[in-house]
Amino acid sequence: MIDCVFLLMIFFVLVIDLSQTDLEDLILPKAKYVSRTTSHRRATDRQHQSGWRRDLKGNTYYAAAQHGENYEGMKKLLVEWRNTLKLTYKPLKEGQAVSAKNPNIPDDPVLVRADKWTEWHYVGKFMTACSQPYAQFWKLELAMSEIDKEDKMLKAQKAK
Amino acid sequence: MARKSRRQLMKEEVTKEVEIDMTPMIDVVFLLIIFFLCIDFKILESKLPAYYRRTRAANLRGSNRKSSCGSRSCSTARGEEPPPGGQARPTTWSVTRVHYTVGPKKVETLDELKDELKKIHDDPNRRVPDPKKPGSKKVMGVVIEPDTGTVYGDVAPCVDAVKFVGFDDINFGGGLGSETGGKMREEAAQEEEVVGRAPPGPTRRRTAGRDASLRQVGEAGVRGETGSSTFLRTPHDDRRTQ
Repeated sequence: MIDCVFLLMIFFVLVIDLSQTDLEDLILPKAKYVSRTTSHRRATDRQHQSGWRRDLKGNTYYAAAQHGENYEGMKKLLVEWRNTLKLTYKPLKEGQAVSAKNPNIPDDPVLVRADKWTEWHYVGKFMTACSQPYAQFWKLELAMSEIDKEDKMLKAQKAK
Repeated sequence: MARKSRRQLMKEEVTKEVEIDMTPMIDVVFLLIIFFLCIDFKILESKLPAYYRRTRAANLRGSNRKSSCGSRSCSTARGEEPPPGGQARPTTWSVTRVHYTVGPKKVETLDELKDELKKIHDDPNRRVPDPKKPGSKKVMGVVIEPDTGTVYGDVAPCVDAVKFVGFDDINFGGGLGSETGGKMREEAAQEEEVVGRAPPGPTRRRTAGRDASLRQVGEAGVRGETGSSTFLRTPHDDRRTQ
């Protein structure tokens, strides 16, 4: 009986954990004030401290050393998100149709998960790309962590 | 072979009864170990909603990456391709101090920043007209302007504090550094003024200092609404390596 209970517990813990497998192992800044939020479906931009990013398939779509000021990969990714993700769109008022004046703007947020040492420049570039007509993502979320893994690492190093 | 006496048989039975089967206990212990290992890896995250800048003024901003050397990320790891299966890590640990400027006031810590923002949030004189509900007023928006050299780990806690105080309308007005962007934004704001789209009134007020005036202009150019609070963050000069 206890065996079964623990097996079930482990199963559910792992299942919950698996839902976050798309999240890259980054050192996120520690949240001091904001409380934990529930996870929901959203497009995620993962940024390493060198401005290096890769998509869910593991393909690098932007690397500062390689691409420099060429942000075509970022554009491609955002367009792909627009075309492939099932997004909810900002509702239009009655009688309004989708047009240049009333564009179809995604209402889903984009989660920016960046390493705490990622230069803000790269995040800013991504924000700028989000605002372009090919993307039009107007909501962003910034990921923070409950703990600072770097502090943990430093403490472990000092303990050694 | 001699037959076992009844006494011997009883003794064997008693011995058998007191034997403890350790298997289920070991099972449970291992399951507990696995369970606690699993939950240790799971770090739940918090997410901060924010909105990005929307006007052409923001998009005109240029980058000045050469001047951004205020943080560890630029000096040690920028531009490096991470090794397979891992990310580039700097070999030295360094600490960068930052300070925050809320309007003209400079504060050093996140708590001070929070207190300063709270004052603005609670001040009824600093409410702005709500365009959605004519006649009523709402809490002003916040524009976060990360200066050159700031890193994600500096900006996200700012948003954290801003959200905690109760501001809902958060915009990013800077992001790529004030050295190149400030001038471009000023030009953009002037252009907006010429074509009559910039809001009139108090946001055109210039405060002392070049940066402050740029922030005021930038605020009008980027936000396109009056009375917004401008919020600037810059890296501190005090850097050291541990």
